[in-house]
Amino acid sequence: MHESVVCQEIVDIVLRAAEANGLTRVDEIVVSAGPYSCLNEAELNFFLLMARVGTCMEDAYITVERDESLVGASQMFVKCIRGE
Amino acid sequence: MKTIPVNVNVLNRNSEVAARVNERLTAAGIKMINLLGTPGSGKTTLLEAVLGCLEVDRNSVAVIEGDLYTAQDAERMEALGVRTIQLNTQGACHLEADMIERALDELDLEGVRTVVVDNVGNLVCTSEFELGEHLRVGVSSVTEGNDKPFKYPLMFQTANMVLLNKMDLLEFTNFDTDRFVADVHSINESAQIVFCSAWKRTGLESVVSLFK
Repeated sequence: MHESVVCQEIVDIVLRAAEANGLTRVDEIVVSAGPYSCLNEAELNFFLLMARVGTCMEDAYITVERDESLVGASQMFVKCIRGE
Repeated sequence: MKTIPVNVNVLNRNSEVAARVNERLTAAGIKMINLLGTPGSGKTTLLEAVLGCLEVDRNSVAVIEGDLYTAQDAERMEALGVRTIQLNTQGACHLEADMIERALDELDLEGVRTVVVDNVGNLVCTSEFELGEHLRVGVSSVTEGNDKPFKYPLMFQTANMVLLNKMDLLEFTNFDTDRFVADVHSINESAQIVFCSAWKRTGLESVVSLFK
């Protein structure tokens, strides 16, 4: 239900990481999510279609990996990005 | 293709604001309680019952009411003479820490020792957003059925206290209280579970003690 907020946060984090590491194009964003995290990969990618317009991640997609070790209220991390 | 490790919490910005809110309240000697639960579980009725107790000094409490569109909950608090601010999310399903920070700027906190956030009725998203609270209280009720802890584990996992409300209606339902306790403790073994009826004002002693 809150994937739009989460997607915007992910985009901001990825843009900062891409710039800091000299990536001009991001193709994949890997997000780790805990077992109780309410995160839907398809919905995230739906919002990404809008959030990525005009950025270096025009063709990027988000992959959500489940990580059983993540607990607590905040169970979502941008794990890594892939690109050139 | 290069892989760049990032390892940044997606809700980092919210968590940073939450930490700032927590620090500010702690320094002022104020405790904040985040009240979570389904719509209709009895969060606002619980607050009415507790704040209506003679043992609770209403002047030492401020309430931040979260709701999608209406001011009905704030009106109920104001009727009790409790300092209240209404946050309308205009359809958003949860509150975020920056909303709380702005609400605290607007509230007169003179003499306040406890701030309660009466969150938007929702068991999913509200649990994921830390608001800077010192304590999370989750409200569930016997009319919701036994399946809620496993269907919505995050609220039960992150709550310090879980209230099972509407105990006065227990005999009219097939709710199994033993199973509820076992299920909640299997998700969160340290959760304090309290059986109560906000409407009948019974079983509220441990909630009242949070305001002392």
